[in-house]
Amino acid sequence: MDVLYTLLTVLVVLPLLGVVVNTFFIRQGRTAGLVASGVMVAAFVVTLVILVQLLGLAPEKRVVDVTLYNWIEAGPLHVPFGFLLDPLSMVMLLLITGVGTLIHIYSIGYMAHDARPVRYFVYLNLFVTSMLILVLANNYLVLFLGWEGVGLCSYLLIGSNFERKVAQDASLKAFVMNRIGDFGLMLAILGIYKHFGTLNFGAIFPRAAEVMGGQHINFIGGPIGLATAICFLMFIGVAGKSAQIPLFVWLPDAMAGPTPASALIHAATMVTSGVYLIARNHAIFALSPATSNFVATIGALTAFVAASAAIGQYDIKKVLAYSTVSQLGFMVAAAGLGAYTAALFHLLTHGIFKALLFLAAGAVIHGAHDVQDMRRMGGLKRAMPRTYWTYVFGALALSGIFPFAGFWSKDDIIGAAFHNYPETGTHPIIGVILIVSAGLTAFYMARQIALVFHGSQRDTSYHPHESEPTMTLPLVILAVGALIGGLINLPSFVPGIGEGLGRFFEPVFVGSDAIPFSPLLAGLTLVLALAMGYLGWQTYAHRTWKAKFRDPISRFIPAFEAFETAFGSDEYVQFFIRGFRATASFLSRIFDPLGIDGLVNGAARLVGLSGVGVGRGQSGYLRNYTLVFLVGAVAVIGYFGFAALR
Amino acid sequence: MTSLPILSLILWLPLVGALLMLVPLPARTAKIVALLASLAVFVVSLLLIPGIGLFNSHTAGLQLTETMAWIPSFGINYRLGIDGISLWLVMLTTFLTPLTILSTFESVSTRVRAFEAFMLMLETGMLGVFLAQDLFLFYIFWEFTLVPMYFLIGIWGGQRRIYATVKFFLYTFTGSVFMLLAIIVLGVVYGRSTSGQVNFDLQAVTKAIQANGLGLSQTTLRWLFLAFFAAFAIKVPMWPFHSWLPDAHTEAPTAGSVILAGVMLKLGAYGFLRFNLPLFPEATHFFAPAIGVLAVIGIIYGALVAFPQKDIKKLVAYSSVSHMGFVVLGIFALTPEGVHGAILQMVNHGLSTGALFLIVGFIYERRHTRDIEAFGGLWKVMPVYSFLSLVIILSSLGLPGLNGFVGEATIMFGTMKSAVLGWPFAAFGLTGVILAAVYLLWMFRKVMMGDVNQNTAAMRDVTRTELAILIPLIVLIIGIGLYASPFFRTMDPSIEALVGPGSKLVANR
Repeated sequence: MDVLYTLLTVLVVLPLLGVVVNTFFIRQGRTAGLVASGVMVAAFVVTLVILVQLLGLAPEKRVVDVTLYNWIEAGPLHVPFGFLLDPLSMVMLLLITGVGTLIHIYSIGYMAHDARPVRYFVYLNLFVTSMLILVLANNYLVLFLGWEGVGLCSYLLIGSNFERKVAQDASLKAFVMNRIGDFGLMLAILGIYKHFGTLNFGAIFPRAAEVMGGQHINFIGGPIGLATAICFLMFIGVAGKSAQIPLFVWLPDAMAGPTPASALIHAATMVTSGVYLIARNHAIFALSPATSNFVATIGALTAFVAASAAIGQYDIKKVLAYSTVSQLGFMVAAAGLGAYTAALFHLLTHGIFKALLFLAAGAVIHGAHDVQDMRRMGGLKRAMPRTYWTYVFGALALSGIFPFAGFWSKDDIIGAAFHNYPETGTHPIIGVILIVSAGLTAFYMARQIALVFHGSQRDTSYHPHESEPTMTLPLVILAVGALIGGLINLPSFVPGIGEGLGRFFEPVFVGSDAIPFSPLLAGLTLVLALAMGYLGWQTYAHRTWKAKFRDPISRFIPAFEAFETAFGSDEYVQFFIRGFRATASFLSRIFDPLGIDGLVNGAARLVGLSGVGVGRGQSGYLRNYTLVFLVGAVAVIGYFGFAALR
Repeated sequence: MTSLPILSLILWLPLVGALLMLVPLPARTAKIVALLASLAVFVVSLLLIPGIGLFNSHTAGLQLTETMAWIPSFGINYRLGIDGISLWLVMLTTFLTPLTILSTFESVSTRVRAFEAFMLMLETGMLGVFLAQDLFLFYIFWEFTLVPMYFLIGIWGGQRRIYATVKFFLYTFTGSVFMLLAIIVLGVVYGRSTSGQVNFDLQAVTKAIQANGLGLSQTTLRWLFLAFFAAFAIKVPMWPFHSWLPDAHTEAPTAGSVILAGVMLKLGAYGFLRFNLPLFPEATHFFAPAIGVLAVIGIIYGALVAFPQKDIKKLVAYSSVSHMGFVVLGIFALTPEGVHGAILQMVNHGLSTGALFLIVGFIYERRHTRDIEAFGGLWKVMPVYSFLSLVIILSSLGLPGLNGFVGEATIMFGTMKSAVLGWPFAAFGLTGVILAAVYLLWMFRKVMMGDVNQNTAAMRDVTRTELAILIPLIVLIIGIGLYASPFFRTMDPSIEALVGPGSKLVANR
């Protein structure tokens, strides 16, 4: 217990140390990168030690709740700054420090020519600190501290190139959209405090059914279940952070940030916090089948919409961004269905292979001298073979091709949709939507690989080159992970072997159903993925394109433009922005000066103080008022002074 | 009291400094003397710090009281005291004043001695408001604060300073007249119902009014509540009584704005806690939902109006309307959490908005404009300045880990739990947190992000003096944000007595 207390503290302090050292003492980019990566390596080692410690405990004892100090103690409100280590937070720690370390090392090479590398590494370390706090929190407010902390780092990293308008817009959009989500989460937290009188997970989840069961709150349309209200509000937070409908639009724009930051924040870790949040609160979500179904539906729809949008992108990173939104949809759907292990399994494998794809895309961009438009690429396989092969590994894993990691984890989710749950039944429609989305995934990845690496280079104004070893080594390591990552939770073909992750999670997700492996579903999905991948390959790999070509499928699918703009999703954002601007400008230009202040000045004029309202700066009036006041003050003070002496 | 009259020492020391300004010192020396005087006040006030100093965190009532007869024939006494409600506000005042005076080192060059004298007089006035425990004494300090601020804006202000300062004076003065009336009524009625002697002793009046309402009818008590409310609501300022604030802020010199936003706005919120709640429990309950509505409107309205402002100072001024809405909401939630949060948020707002006005002042000194469009790319030319500004902005928009969040979140917990307000108030109030991110980061984007232009290319980064001003503020912003318990704990007994389960406010509902 004491050992873990120290280890957890050290773990969180390490990246913070990197922040402090780099902020105050380091001015040189490469040194900053070494410092930042050094603390990450140390953090990863500490995480492994923590894992060993945790595994040393009996499965039912694997819950360590430690309080560092009392953060807020305001009357009845007690909020400790405390950590909770259990199998759920453990796997998140491994992902964050493991993938995080590789991305830090990769960044040293990637940021070598950047204008402000030191800042970048400060933000990256700060991000890791916040993310660790988020997953380790033992209460809602500390979780919220990490939750908004990662949002801040995301904002800073997206806005790294603040000279560019794109970066300015995207960073602000990301922060505000996240804040809208945070609004929901905070309101949920307030509600939980009101009904439980505490914010500590350990005191809330065991009593969830007892406190919330059958409770209703009055809403405009009539009473709604307390658990439903809380879960729904919490899901607004999930939609913001994990980029679900309708709040996903910030994530594609977030690609304005440096690519390794996208890999860490906008693919592997931060955006999955929503999934983590649902998993952490499974005891509450279990009380509201209505919300659970709603969450699963939104997740599936997001998976489909974003997968379609990915087909219509020309920017190498935007394809991956929409792909991430889509895959997050898979995870959210799984969490909504109650298949928490499947959600977390996919979260982990996706964290590996999507980080790989982003880093490899970064290597492409880096080696292609900042070209991001896939139409200007082509044939890059020859110049960057290592990047190419690792990219292919990532793509196969993402497309769910046997035996890569994504095959196993995606299949668990699809299996869950057809599983018969006691509370909510089977969800065949969700299952079909997910299978179709999986097919689209294979298509857009085949398209991307064909356009980027095969054929011949369409724009020859630049000379592509392979990246340095500090960048390709992390790619190779992650590619291995993309290949064998499924091992952590293989289906249990032989009793007692396999489903490692599921068994590890058993004490956390007590009573959550294990999803039996269905060879039929897995086979069907695999065949569809192979067919769609083949189709994509056939469409794009065998033709010579011009540098500014129009996508050939736009001739067959009239809706292609809808894909390109993700079904016009930015339009509704613009609609709200216009409304906001109009309201704000009406209030500030007309209502406030003429309405409210007009009344005030009018009243002043009415009582004869005409000079005040007009405001031409008449110094005569100042003198008059001063005089009146001074005379009055002297009279009053003199009177009382006199009375006192008497 | 035979021991050291520490509160009197803190209260009058600034005025001694102000008197020193009568000596015809050279400008630079005068500034140093003024700074030393205000630092001396701060050092003395440190003697109060709970745990190491004189303040006892475990008592609810007034401490370190001092009483002296002043005008016995009218029952007016010189009566000072401090408790958990006023402690941190006193500390805020003594902390902020030296920093503000330090800021005048680089920004004030005309009639320096008069300026510093007014600053120090203002400090005495504000401390008097927080310390006075006699209704009449309170009123005198309350009005007295207007005088130096009136001259600070009127003499050292911007182009429309006369309009702004007269408006400021008359508007707040008008509200106070109602309060004066109510104070006189209370003193006289108290006298009539007890010894026959008029008495303005706040504690005695509070005790009597809580016991039997001084024989006044419910309606009368409600009217008296409104009379106090008028004075305080204008000062906070609550929507829709806020329109003097943007004018006063834009025209005031930087130091004036810092004190105005940092401390003077808190006088109103403090007044609610010291007078409205304990004196009129029934009326408080009666009016709380309505006041809550005004507070929520203020939160949203202030944020919306802040966004399109072209003048950075005006933007910050409207943000105060929004932020002070949170404070009022917390107070009238009438829950311990709400009041805890409100008091801490007063301090937080003093630190972060004070700091915001300072950073605006710093770039105004360099370019003599506050037009948001004139800047851009400061993150490039003034990296240290921009970094510090970012921390301050994040504190103001309530980022967890910094002070603003702790205050606002605690207020929101109190609002949600409140029997008189409840979740709709929390939900609408929380939208202000989204909007705060919009207008503050919009400003950050316009001023710090983007590329440098002709106007900003040659701007130099923070000077040592500016750094010395901002560092203490940043330390507190982070310190309170990460470890708020010590601040809350000292308030606890007093708040418990005010709105806890056993208090008059809650027990007799």
